[in-house]
Amino acid sequence: MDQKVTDLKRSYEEVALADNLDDVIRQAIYKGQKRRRSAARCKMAGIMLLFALTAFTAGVNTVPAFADSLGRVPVLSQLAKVLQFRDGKATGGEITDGKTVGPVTREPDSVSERIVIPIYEGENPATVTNYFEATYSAYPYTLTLDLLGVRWFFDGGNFPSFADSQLVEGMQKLVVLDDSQQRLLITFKVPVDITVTQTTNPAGLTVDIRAKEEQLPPAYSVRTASYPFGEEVGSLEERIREALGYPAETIRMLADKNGKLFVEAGRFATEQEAEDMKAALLAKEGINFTLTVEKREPAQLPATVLQ
Amino acid sequence: MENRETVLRARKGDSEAFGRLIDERRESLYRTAYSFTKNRDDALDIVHDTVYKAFVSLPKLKNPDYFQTWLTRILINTAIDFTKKQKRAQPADTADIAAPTGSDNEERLDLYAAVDRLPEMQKAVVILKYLHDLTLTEVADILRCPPGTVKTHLHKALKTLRMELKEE
Repeated sequence: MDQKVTDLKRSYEEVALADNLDDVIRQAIYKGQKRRRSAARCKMAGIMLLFALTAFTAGVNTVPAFADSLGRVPVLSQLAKVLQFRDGKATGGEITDGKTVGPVTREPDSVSERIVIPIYEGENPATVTNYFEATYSAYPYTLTLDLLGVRWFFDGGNFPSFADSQLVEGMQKLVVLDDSQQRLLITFKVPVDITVTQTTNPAGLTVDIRAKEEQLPPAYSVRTASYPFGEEVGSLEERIREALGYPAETIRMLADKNGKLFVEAGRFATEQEAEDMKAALLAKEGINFTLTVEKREPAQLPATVLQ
Repeated sequence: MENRETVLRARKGDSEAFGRLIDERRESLYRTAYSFTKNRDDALDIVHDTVYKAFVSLPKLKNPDYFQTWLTRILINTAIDFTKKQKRAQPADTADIAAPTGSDNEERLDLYAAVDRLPEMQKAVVILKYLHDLTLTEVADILRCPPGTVKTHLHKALKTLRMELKEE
């Protein structure tokens, strides 16, 4: 029997590998990558959080496609689709890759703003918008756009100046440790109503912004220190996600009042709850950096916290 | 020796790191899958499903040092599920089997075919013990059953193989 086992082993080792084995493996990894992103998005939508804040969902639009309640001419295109937000989130587009954020423009008027974000393929407008997720929240008021399948910026990520805007504080790139996607952050100065419209042929996103009245109590944010744009703050975000088990609803990357970036792990109605979360997080493996509890009004720009 | 750092990066979603881990094991993955199916396309299907499942569920792997055992378990389970679903009415296509070299071709084919006819769990034990050189404890760990059960499967498998090969 021993000889036969040896023979069996030799036969096993002599099995010729299939020519396309490497292609099959690559396809499986790519499919797994898409599946993991999709699973993370499902978690964002449905996970039960220990520290959920139901009181702090900022108001978002449910405006029908051609209503003009924001006082703006709707995006005129048979292929325009107004996103419907639920709990501050909306998704759209199609899963693609290799897209570019085109030259971003703004069209202010006396009472509102319009920001146009075209999506390019190479040097020309794309036909179809990549898959994206839009998240709107307060403390401060922000719109975060996760653009999956977008790898580059047409002009290196230069955005228009909002210095004269009554509504928009600024727009900037966020750090993402995945070269197949980009993230944009639009920070607002006041509570706003927004409408996000997705267009096809040409592809892009249009964000219409108008001030609104809203009174919310202050919140207490558990956050990191402020960092310049770079891998370090991206790494902190990943470490916090891993420590908290990837509940993406509470974790945000934000810009402070000087344009530096930081990560917010969560925000709470009371200072005690925030301190408890901070202590729990610091006890986790891999969390060996500064965390601070910051009190913030709903439209207040975050402070710069030194490391 | 496992590169722990690579496993940790792969666990966080670094597909390049995961690709390196799989690349180091590609031959073993394919040959093990092939041992179950004796068919190139089916073996590729098993490898594809194994790699996909592994990357998707890698965040759940708590101990990165356990990666090899964990991956082998996924492979074996995928192979067993696949062969159960196949419900082959005819024997393996012997033309598709990598022809053993040497003068004892027929005997090797007999052995290969005999192993192929074993029930899935017995086949898995034979493959893991004899082709992967694992101990019974390691096999038990992969198959998530007591070592005693592995011994029973092995004993039955060897008994069947001896009878089929008419060994005295």
